[in-house]
Amino acid sequence: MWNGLDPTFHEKGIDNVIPRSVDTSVLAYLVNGMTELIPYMPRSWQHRLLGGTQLAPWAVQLFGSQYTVPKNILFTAPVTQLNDVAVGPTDFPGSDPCEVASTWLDPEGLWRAILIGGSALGLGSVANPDLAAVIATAHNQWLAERWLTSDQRFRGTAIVAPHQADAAVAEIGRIANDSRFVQVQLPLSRHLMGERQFLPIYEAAADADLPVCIFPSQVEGITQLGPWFPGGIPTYFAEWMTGAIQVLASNLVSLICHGVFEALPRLRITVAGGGFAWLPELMWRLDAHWKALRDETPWVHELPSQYVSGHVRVVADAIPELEDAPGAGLALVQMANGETTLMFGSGYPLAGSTAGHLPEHIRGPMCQDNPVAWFGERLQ
Amino acid sequence: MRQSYTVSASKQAATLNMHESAGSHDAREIGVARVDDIAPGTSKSFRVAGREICVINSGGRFYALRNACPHRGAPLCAGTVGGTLLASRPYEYVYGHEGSVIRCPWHGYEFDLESGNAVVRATGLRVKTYPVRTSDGSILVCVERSGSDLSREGHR
Repeated sequence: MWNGLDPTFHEKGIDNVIPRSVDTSVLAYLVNGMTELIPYMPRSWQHRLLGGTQLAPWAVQLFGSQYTVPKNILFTAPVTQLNDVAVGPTDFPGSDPCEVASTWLDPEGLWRAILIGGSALGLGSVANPDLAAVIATAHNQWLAERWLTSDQRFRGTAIVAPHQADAAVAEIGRIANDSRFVQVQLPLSRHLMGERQFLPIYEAAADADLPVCIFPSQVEGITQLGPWFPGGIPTYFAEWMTGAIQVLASNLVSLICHGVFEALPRLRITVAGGGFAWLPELMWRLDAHWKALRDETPWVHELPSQYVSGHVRVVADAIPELEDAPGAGLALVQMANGETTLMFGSGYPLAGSTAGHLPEHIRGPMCQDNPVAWFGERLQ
Repeated sequence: MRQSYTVSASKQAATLNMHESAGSHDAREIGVARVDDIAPGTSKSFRVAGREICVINSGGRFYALRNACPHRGAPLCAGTVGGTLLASRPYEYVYGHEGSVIRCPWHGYEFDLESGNAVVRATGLRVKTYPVRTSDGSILVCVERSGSDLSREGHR
């Protein structure tokens, strides 16, 4: 099976080149789906979900099949996307901290790897807001116990449920005390992120000096409460995978147009899971429209693109390699103000990029300087 | 309603009995119209010494500016004069600058009638404005004898 890795990647590894290189996007998956989170839930919810203290075998199978929450029915071909190197003898790829450390952190010479919960990206489309909040807390406890304690190079992204601001604020307050959590992920929902019901969540994150991470939910166009998929419902995983980046673009534009960065000057947003090449065109377009439409959103005081360099970092998990236009990928990096705005992230164990493939002159900023500045003391 | 027409300098002088005053060595005042010709809330464009100039009567006060938006060259005289929404806190609309902002008819760029600066300063755009005054019922526009505004490249 193709494992997604360049066979020479060990030589291209960045050890001895970038001393404190950070992979800002490594996905941590549940082994047995929801069943793995049950021990971290309050007794009331264990009872509520299990109907007793022990899961019946059929229930284990049911929950265990939901390795994403909720289950993404398009995500049926993980073998083509998830790196088989990262799998333990019996586990789901990216679900064993030791395997991830030995198959990725070691050969890549990584100083830190920031974990994003790959199984809970769709949390925003869970119908029950109380259950969503319980899953978020259980997930963060699971991440801390199973992953963050297993290797000191791991740092965590805490997930919060977007349904109820007060629950999310409480969870941010809880995880902020654990310095191993370096950012908060707000799972996407039907509401674009600029909408005002999210402000208390952003305020709590900004107060704790934690960036808020956005990542495709994996359920765009699939669940009723997940984000709309732009244009229509995708049939194939490849369609979904390619189009999901548009959702990131919409959310970034929403944050700027609602003046969230004016309301909360200390708010910082990490955009992950969708590359960056769309960013220059998007910002040019928004700038152009805003120059004429400023009076629609007079609370946007700067050129929209200026908010990006001040408040947004984008995880570049791929740099387009255009065969007919060599160097065009680098031009895109430059247009995206890459030396300031971009951070390296592999998306491991999804078939992602290695830092060794990055052009040399931006490797330092992307792999070390930008992540170290962005996540600050919590990386130390 | 707005009108836009071009008259030669000689025709202006003949029909409007306008005069040209010395001003300074570098500038001269040119009469373009009678005060009554441009009612409050209206504007007219004139060909003045090689320039297309829009003269606006906003609430009894006259402004003169180059009749070409510095963005793409649209005739600003076809734009609307009014106020604008001031920089505010999120979700607050605060109206102000009534009568001192012109909005381009093509892309909606707004310019301060007095300074010519674009309201969105980040655009770096400014429309050329000209000193204007009234005397004996005439509207006088002051233009430089030579200047960058003579260039046909009024926009970028």
